[in-house]
Amino acid sequence: MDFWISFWYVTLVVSMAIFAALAVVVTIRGFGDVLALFRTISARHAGEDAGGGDTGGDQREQDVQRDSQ
Amino acid sequence: MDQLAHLGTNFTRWDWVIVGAYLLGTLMIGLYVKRYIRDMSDYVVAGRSLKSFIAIATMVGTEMGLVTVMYSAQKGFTGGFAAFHIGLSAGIVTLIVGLTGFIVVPLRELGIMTIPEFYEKRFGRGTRIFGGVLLAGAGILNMGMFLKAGALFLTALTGLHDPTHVNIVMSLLIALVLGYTILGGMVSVVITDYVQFVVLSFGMLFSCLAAWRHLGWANIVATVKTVHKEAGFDPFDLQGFGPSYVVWMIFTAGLVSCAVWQTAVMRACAAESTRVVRRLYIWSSIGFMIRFMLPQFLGICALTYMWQNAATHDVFFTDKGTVVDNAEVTMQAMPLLLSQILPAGVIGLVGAGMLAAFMSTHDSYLLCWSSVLVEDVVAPLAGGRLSNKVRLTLARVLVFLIGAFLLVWSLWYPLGQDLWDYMAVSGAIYFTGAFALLLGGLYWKRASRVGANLALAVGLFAVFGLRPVRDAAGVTRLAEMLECEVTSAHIGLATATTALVAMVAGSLLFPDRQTSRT
Repeated sequence: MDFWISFWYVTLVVSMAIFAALAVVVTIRGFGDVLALFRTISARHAGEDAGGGDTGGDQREQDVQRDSQ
Repeated sequence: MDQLAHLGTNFTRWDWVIVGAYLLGTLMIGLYVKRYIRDMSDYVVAGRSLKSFIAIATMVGTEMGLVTVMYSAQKGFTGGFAAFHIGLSAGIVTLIVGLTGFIVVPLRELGIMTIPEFYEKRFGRGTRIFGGVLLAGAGILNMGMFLKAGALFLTALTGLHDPTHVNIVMSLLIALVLGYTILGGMVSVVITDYVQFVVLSFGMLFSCLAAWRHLGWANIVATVKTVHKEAGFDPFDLQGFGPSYVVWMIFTAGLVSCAVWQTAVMRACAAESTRVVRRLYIWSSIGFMIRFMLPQFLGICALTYMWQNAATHDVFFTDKGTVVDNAEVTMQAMPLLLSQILPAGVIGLVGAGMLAAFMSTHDSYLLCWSSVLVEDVVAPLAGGRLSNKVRLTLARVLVFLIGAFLLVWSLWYPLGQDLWDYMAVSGAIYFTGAFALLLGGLYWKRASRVGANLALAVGLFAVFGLRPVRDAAGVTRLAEMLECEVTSAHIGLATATTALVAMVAGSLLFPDRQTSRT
């Protein structure tokens, strides 16, 4: 039983510490991503309004090409 | 439960103001982002524009909802430290999925929005419709207890112990979530997920540290030893979880939660690229572990507090010193603890965070199942002739109808088992078959249409894991006669294995024409 008590203690403390660090990073960098999300969708809609059709498909193809490189 | 009314709560009118301000804020966000919704892609996967950090926030935000907090805390209460194996399994398996890209990367490469869409690409339209019905059916059943869990949390936290309050709160909550989800779709879901991630992450960490400081580690360990004995620490102990339950958790809390469950797969499909998918899973593995462990720790702290408090001891424990066998009672232990140890002001913030978590999970799931029904059942049946506008309207109508069903189900269904086990079993109706289809469809060329449909059909047997169904079907009595134990974990594992066998056997015996030519 002592093994499990020590094991769960270490697991809990380490997890909480890592999660606290992750929460700080994601909070800060995530806010920038939210603003970028609005910009991306607005730009896509503007492209569609200008008669460019569904530019999202082109973007997806570019993503696949980039990932495969 | 009259004894609980004497406990009181630290929740003051200022905490109500904090919660109210939060709700008003989120409603305004929903109205603001409505302008970004133009088609089904915007509504369902946010135009596939999610970058890494917002993807992590929204993934963890969705999966660390109030319901997760409630069922995990209940598991900590009823299982002790041994329940930590669920979070550990989830974290390790999610990390492996992130490192290998297992299932999720091929799905993102296909550019699909839902798993049944993959079924059609691989196995044909009939499998997509059958899979879509099963997925949405199991998913809606799976979230059937969300409302009750949310209402029990709020009423216990705020000191509203009258049972009618639970029903009123359930009705108010569903009205709030429905309005919000119908307005904004995935873009608003992403925003609330982000806000919820921030509030709940720090709120949970603070609550755990407060409970730890209030009760003390040695005291907590000693209480778990007294109540649960060895089984409260060793997950393999047969008096507690046991090896079959651990394996079941590696499969459900681990693999299924992150790579097969539609809401998680939707995040992978909404990611900007496959590189983002991998990064999302690697970093989210910490969140997947923590979303179980922190609430479980709060549940363990609640066990300690309720055991040592004369006013609550008789409510939560039997004369023999064991935990009472009443899921709706044990679920209230954690919010009751928070209502006692958190100071006024902080408790309002945590309450708002939890409410945010509730909305975040609820809107994601409502959106998910309504879009599955539209895209994978109605649209294929209509021969793909539905316009974007009709699809959006239909999705919004379905969100409303699902919400109405959830309210009725929450009021009517007798839970009869831990909430987490209810959710694992109801979800298994879909995911036991879906896992076989994903595995076969993505990695085995000979997987055929017949094998796929057989595997999906076998998944239906998982419903016998629900205790009321098991009792009604006579499975429990039969097991008693044979002097053996049949648990939800046994039924779930047996169903998953049989689905895989059905997939292989069906594919070998009835290969697709195209496959047999190659």
